[in-house]
Amino acid sequence: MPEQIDIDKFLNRHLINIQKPGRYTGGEFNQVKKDWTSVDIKIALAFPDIYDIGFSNLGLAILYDAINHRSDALVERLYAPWPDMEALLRAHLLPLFSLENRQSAKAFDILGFSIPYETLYTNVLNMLDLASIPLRSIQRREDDPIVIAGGHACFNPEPMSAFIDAFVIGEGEEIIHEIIDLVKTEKIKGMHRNEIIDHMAEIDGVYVPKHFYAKMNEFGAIKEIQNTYNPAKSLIKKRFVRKLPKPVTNFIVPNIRTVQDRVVVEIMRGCSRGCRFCQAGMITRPVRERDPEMIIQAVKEAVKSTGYEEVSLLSLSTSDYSQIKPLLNRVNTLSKELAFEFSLPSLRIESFSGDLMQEMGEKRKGNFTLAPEAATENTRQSINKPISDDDLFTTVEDIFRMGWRNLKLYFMIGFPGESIQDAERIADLCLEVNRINKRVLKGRGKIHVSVNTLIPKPHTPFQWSPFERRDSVLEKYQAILEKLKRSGIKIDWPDYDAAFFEAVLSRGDRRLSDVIESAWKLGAKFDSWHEFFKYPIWEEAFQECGIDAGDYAYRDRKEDEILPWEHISSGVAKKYLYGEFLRSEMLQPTKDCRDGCSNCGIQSAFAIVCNEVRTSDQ
Amino acid sequence: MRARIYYSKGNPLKFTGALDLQALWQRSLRRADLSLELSQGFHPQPKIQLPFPLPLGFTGQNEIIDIWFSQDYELDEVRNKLTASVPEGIEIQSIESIEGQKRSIASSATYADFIVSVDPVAVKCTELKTSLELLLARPTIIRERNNKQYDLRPLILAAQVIENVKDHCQLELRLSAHPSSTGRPDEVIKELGVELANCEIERLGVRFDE
Repeated sequence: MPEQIDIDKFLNRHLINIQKPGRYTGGEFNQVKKDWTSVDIKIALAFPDIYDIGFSNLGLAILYDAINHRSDALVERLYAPWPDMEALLRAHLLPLFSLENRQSAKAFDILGFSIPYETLYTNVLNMLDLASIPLRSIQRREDDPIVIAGGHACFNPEPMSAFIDAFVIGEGEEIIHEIIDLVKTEKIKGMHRNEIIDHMAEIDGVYVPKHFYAKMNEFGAIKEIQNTYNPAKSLIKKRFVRKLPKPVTNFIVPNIRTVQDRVVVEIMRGCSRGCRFCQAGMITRPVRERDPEMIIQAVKEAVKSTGYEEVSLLSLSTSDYSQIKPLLNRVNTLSKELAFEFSLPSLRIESFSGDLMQEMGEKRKGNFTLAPEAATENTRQSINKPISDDDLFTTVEDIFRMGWRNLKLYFMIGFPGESIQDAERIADLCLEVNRINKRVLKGRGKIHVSVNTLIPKPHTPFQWSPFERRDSVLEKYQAILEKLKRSGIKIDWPDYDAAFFEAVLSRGDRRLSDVIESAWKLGAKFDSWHEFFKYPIWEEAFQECGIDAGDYAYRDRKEDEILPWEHISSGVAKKYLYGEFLRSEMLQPTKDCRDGCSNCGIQSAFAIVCNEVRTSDQ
Repeated sequence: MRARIYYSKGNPLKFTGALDLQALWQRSLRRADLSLELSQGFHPQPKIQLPFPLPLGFTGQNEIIDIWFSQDYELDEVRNKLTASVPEGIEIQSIESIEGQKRSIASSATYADFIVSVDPVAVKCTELKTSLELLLARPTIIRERNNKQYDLRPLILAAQVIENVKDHCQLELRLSAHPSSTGRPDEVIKELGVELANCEIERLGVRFDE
């Protein structure tokens, strides 16, 4: 194992030949670098994409801050190297190293990956390999770190189950300390790595895949999922924090430009809307709001401690925050005092009124994004985003009148039961928006339409629905394109193969571990990058493993079928999800939680009252 | 009030390029809570100027940043606040106030001094000395950079190899820094047949006419 000094010397000499070398140096403002020998337990937090992308991951920033507050632990960051750096590391037999103390990833006690989306899987394998850590959990030895993973993609942990020793299901703020305490105590006691992993399973929200066994029937469907280690614990319930803690304010400030370098303050977690396609909305329940005073203080502190010029107020549905108007009013005032810009992602059409736009003051020059998702009132009823056409057009008109020039519209196709005519209506709706543009702005507004293909995700009511087949997706796109010809409206949509691939990985079972490993061996990595993603590699990997990818994507799942993620619970009951699936077919919307409880199951799963948790600190 | 700050730029910032450095200084100044003059125009920016960009991968001494403050500060206060607010890799060396409305110094550079530390394992000092003598004896050194041919020789104002400094072999260079004819130390190094990976380059300072 090379000494740290070698890594320093190596970087000093070789980084000059590497693109964007600032990705690999560390030493940024607000970085915390503790003495390597001063603590009992060392944690590496890894993001399986390059620094520029992983830098802004809020989950990792929260954990970095939380662990650094402990005197008995240190935490360091790891990112995937760009191929040029990877080649250099491999050529010089140097390991993947952390940014702070430049230690090999293998030298840590715990190596934790954040996996927010499925297309990062091969990068996780590549990073393990670069760290000389055996890919498969069962091959690891006493001197390997305990490899854990968390993030939204881990709500279906099965495809990565061979490679991760323990998954964390749900929110990390509390559980990270329980894990660190346990690993530390047991390491000091001299327990074996395998015993420690076994004991980790006793922490609520920790899923140790080797303890579980999925019995298959002769058709490749799951017959039963058993916990062979502790048969009494057949369901792993997610973790969440009842009260959101004080937000992170001492963000690390990069020395190079990254994708989103700005202050991010989460104002609310969870969403009460219940859109049926939205995984985040289902798995982050219940809704919890931060106190406006706490948010204002955090913005102030964060701007001062980072020097950032931009603040983003984050949530799944910002305009649903109960005190959004007074909050925006204060942020507006503060933004003038401290000279920063602020942005509000995820504004909802129904709750975003004209006077809220007024509060946004001079922020009206940039882009405005609306996500109607579907073009007709019927389809919007079926996906439970019941916005009326009138509301939609009024909002568009308001947006243009208030001075915004660039409007971005998000749609999806591939909803269950959607006809080609339904899809075509996307074009009609865009043309109507363009008429408003011509009327209000004399056509000076720019309209940009993005059409994605629905990926029916686990833990949503659409988890039983198939992913739409290629021919019909392409036919719908063609029809939309045809109608928007010469309209001046810009339209883009994703590569079908990439969406199909995401559908397969997100709906897959344990057998996909073999496929992921094969694909990585065949050269797959950076699958979320258009320029790297090579579908033929994956086709070959599926073939090699004798697995039909289409089965995961296209098969209608039966009500009584055991789903690969059956043993992972978000707290939202399967019965409720299936009910929602049926209501979707009948075009029946379900009300917002704030207008009355629809018994999704979260209250009984955790013995909570949503209305109390929502604003418990006020 | 306009102040000129001399600072050193070392690891890890030697891998932060000129554009990113601009943003890094703006944020450092915001953290220092010093109030700056804003530029005119649609997107007012704090008025700062880094007149002599340092190429990526070089360290630097006596690097310059000019800052226009919107109020008067004691120089000591500026120094103390900045010392606390700059990231690892920048050290404030000295600070002076610039009186009057002098124009920007960006186009008034004349020459720059560099010191190149060469890995003694990879490169023999005596050989480097010989190569340098041969190089300096040439009337022209035609090289190509950014698809353009140019003569490097007149840009080398002075050069010498110094042995046994901290177990290193050091190459001292004084290169022209006129905006229209700037000599780059890495070009000299390449011409000497030495690999860049075996060198550490530091710019000691830029001379300019004011």
